Amino acid sequence: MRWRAAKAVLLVGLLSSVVAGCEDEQEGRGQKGTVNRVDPPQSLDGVQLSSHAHGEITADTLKGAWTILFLGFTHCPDVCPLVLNDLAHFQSLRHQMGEVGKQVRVLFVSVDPARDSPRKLSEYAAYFDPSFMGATATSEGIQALESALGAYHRFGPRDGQGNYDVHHSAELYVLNDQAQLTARILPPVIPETLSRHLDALMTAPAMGGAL
Amino acid sequence: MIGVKRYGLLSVFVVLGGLAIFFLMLGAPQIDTMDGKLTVRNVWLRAMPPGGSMTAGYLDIANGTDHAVRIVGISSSAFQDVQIHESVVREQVSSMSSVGALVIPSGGHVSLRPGGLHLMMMGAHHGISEGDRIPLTLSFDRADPLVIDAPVSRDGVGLALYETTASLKTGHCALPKVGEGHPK
Repeated sequence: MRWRAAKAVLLVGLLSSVVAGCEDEQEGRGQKGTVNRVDPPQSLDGVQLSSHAHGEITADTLKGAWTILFLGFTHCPDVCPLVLNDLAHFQSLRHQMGEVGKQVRVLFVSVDPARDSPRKLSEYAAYFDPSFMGATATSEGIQALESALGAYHRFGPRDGQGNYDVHHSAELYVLNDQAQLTARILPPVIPETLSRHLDALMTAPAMGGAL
Repeated sequence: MIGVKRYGLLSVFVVLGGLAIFFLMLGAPQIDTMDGKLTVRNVWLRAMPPGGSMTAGYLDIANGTDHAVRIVGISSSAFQDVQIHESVVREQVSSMSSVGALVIPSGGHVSLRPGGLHLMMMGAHHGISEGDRIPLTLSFDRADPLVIDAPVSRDGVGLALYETTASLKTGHCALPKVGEGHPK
């Protein structure tokens, strides 16, 4: 038993130094950061979101560029700002690349419209990166979006001050330039890795894609 | 690396090991020494987006005393309420739950880091912006309270190293270096 434990410790040490030194090795292991392709891509037709800065957002208005969509709520103190900060680093990386065809929109959609107005969401999203879009919808609209994405949210109980948590899908949803869901990626976001994933998705559309 | 997929548990260890090394490189509690003190390091609060009323705080706390120490209260004059919460992602769904009591075992440490355990800072009395310093008081069951001057950052990157210590009430060590409040 001792020998097995020692071997395990040794292995962990060896393997983790490989992991620490080479992020490529992290891909494909476990679920975090891995790309789950949606094939054939799933249409978002019928989805309708409200944005203060960008007006109505529909599948039609999302066509023409790739989009990373993330669900959350602004009263989320930990996970949402963490992911949005990482996405902001990703976005500056893409901007540095400069190529017009490689630019990706980031769209933050609140599943908590009772506390998050479209105006508040535009300010919130732009705080992380001026290019980020913030939007929400009616509860029916959110349901329609979640059903298209295979996503989910649920409201937690209220505390004495009326605060409540929102359990929500924590994946990044990658929409192609036809506004179709083409991949789901579970954070953490490593900007360089995400950028490579996006390049791969952009250059190798799904077999069943309507392109 | 071949065959790792087959060993689910092993890959968990690998990721944990990787994270441990990553955090060590970040200057997290390196070796927990039995120095007879509670040591708080790497404190920061997340800058609050416009219109927000809550944010998160992070820190590492090491217990070099020979008693387990429990955090019995956290407060800040800039917030109505501070609790300890934990973010969990399960089945691709993110949720948060309140952590009743946080005990730092003797000779051990607890890390509050983005995406996991964190201070849930609720009901901000004013905006919390990058560069601010926010007072934070940690109360313990068997040590004097620690008053911390927590820096505010957007992402916690590039902060100066922060360290402050408290001694056990029952011990005969010197008074806390930083720590003004009165025991409750």
